[in-house]
Amino acid sequence: MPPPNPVSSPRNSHGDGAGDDPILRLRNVALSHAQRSGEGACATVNWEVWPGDYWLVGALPGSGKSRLLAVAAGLEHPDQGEVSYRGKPYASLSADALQQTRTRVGMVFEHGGRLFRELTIEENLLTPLRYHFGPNGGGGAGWVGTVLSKSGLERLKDRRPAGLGIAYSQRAALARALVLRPEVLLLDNPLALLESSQAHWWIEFLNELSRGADWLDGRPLTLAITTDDLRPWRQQQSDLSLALLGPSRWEVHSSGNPWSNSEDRLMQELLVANLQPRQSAPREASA
Amino acid sequence: MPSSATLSGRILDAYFAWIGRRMLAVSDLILGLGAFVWITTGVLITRFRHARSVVHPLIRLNVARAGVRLLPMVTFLAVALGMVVIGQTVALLSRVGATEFLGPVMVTVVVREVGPLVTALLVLARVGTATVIELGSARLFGEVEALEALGIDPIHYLVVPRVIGMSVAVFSLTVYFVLGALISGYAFVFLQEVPMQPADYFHQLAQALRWEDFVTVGLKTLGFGVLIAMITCYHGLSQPLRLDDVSTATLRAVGQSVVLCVLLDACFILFNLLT
Repeated sequence: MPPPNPVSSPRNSHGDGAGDDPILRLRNVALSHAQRSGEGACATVNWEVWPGDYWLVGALPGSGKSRLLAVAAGLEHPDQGEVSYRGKPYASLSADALQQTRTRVGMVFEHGGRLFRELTIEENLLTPLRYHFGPNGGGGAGWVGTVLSKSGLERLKDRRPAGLGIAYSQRAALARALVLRPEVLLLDNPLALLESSQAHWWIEFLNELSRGADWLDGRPLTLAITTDDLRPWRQQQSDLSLALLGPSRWEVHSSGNPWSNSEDRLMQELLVANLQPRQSAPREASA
Repeated sequence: MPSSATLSGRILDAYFAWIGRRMLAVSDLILGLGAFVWITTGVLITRFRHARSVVHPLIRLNVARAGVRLLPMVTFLAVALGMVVIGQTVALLSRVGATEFLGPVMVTVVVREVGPLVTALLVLARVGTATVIELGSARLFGEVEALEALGIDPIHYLVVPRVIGMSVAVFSLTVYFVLGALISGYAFVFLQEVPMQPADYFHQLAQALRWEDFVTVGLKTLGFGVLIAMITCYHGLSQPLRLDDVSTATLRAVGQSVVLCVLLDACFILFNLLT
């Protein structure tokens, strides 16, 4: 087992008045998901996500990106170590408290976002809102309309996920996560399979969320995003905190060092992304 | 070449190993299903009033799906059974001059046994199998994890409405089935010109029915509904399925549901005999 890394966060000395605990803290968390042949070792993750952070976690496919986010969201147990939300370890929370915590930690899954197939896009957003706040609570249909509009899904709200392309399914998954007004949003490889114009929309939208969108009360949203391709994010590397995840490896990239100057092999692989052009979305919505 | 004693020893070893594996599989199933029933019961009790605007429409949807939509099929089966079984029984009893036993025979066969069991098997075939496939594919496509990520309890959202829906459906459909079978049976008898007045027929039925029959049928049908819903939901959700596992899980759920429904029925018969 590799030695634990020093706790990684660009905001260890934060003073935002949000309390002494980070939103998420992963302490000595071991992840044994690495699927790459011959490299099935654990990465030990020490990670703190503070309010307002904008994290990008780069990792090659099969390195455990999805599992890292699932563990951070409290959906899976780590092999070892402790994950806490606002200083409270998930393991110590009751079922009700854990359920409540999950509404504060939004999660956007990759490859279409795992929408509920039997519901329309609007119902996909309304269901969690009504489940937690009642038929008219949480802003109701008006708030859902706002989120749909901001996500560019207003015209598609009556469609079922099967009638959408992956680009719009992914947006709907983002909208579904935002509708509960989470404190931190975890996005699993959101740009995978998107064509460049869609990827551009996503980056602009996430930047707006990170700065604090008016329609989200102007509050900067804390973001943690995984990716297997750093190229679309290069333009804004100064705004991002970058961590690299690999087999037996969790490392925070020094913020002063431009990515392209790095001699790190994993970083180079993520920047080159196998020298392939970005894939187009296989099915685009016709709307 | 192995001797016959060695060969028979190997066959015995293989047989006992097979028995052992089956026993382990059954004990795993009992433990898993028991835990699932325990958790679901807990959620049903503690969260019944929670998220009513989402879960109660789902309950109504499941009652409609497992109950109302099956009404034509239940009516058809009730009429067919009434004509084939009851009509012939009545005709036979009247031929040997034993029509005074008509009521007890009808109540024993249709009300206590055939009605609840046939209805439960119908719900299992039409709705139970679909439940395994729906929940299995929901698990396959990651929708269960998506529910958890949104702070929605998957048992509350996916299982509780189905348990209530199927229980209410089996109970209600049994009532319709029994009424349909008894009425169509008499209609067939009437057409056969058996000398029996409708008043005599229904008087005999009323005489043969005891209040315990209503309690037993109520408990039995609710029990069948709960069993079918729990077993099918358990097999849909208990483990991550691949597409080619779904048919196997469905067959397993149907087999286990049939066996457990018959066992539950046997328990009620035993209870009736003892009391």
